[in-house]
Amino acid sequence: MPEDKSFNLEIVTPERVVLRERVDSVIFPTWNGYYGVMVNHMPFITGVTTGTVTLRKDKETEKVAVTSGFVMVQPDHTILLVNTAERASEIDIERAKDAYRRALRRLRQRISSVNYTRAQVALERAANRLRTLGISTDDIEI
Amino acid sequence: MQGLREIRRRIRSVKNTQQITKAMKMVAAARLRKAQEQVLAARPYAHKMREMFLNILEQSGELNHPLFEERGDDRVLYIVLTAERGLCGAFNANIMKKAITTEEERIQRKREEHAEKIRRLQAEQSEDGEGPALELPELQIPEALWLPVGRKGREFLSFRGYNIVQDFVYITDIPTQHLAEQIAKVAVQYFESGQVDEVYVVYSQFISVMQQKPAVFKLLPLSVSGFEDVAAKGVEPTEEKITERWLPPYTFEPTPELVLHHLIPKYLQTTVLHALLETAAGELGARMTAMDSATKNAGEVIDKLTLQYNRARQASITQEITEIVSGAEALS
Repeated sequence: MPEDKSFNLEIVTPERVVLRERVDSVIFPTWNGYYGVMVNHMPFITGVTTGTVTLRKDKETEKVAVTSGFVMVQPDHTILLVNTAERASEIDIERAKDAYRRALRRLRQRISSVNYTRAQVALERAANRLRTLGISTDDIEI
Repeated sequence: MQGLREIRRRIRSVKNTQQITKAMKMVAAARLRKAQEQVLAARPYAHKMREMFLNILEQSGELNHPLFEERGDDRVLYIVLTAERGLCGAFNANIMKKAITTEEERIQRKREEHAEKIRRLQAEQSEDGEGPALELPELQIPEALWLPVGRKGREFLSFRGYNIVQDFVYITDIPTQHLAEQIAKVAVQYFESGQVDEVYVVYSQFISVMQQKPAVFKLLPLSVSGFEDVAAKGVEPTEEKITERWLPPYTFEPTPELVLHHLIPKYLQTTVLHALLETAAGELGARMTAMDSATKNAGEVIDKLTLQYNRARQASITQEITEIVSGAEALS
């Protein structure tokens, strides 16, 4: 019998527990770049940035778009505490594309700094969702 | 005896009131479900956050972070979480009572400390024998600062002349992260600038639909031991209990200090949000209970009035008959 190499992964946001299941490996974006974890990893804690979490179980992969937060790794348990998290299956492609175009349009107009920052954040959020779905932002015609 | 019309009018009026209380009860019940779900859904996050925080503290030991600095309890800030609206029984009153007694206990403690100090000084002097008259320190307790969240709290405090430094009113039914962030920010500002030595949060714990318990916890300074685990109760132990076996210590990327630096604001925010959520759910629970009993009471009043009305009606009919009969008799 092959050794069970899975471990528990939890992705928790202030609103809900987005995901709680056993996985074989997980890759997440940290302050120091993407980081891959498998079972029996050394315990560590670091910060998570906006990006895509990739998890693999039984040769299937799933992607989750996350924004900033923290991660706590234990040998058989990894917990991601993030502000928001959306599974790829939950993302609405058309909405994300629209949001991306809208944010880009706003950035091109010369507007007040508050709205500028807001648009920047919106752009990043939309781009992150699209990247999680595997859509390059270059392919989106404005 | 009251006139028939008078009674009829009262029955109608009570019925109208009953309709209102009934509607409010239903609305509260519907919202309560949502609020309750929110509290429950937010608990795992708050719980895990706390766990992570304690892990860091456990390992990094003494920390030189300004938010850990203990400076006594001379000047305090109370953040009081109340409801926006009334008609929820003694809910708001209970929270305010808790806040006021907490402050009174603090003042009492200060008084006792001061009396103790004077006794000590006097004892020292009498040991030294005769000396110049002793200058006794005067008792000084700076007025506490108050930060009400919710209109009811502000009304209560300003009516009684408490020192309100800032307020958050017209908050929504379901507290947002944004609000929690703002409150946490203000708390940190007051603490870091040295305007206050301690920050307390007074809120209402949501125990069950029928039961809310006002409670206080210390938000700042942060301390390793005195943590109020607002999220601990009600969190089912995770199915996959984290193994009890020995774990090598955590490493931190890049350093414990940096992780903590980012984690603290988030931690404070989460704690505040949790208190807000509990209070919001408690408010709806209290309103539902209060409106339920109000509806019942109105029903009782209506029954009593209806009985009275029927009696009066019967009496007037009897009287009319008597009048007719006696009139007929007089004629014959």
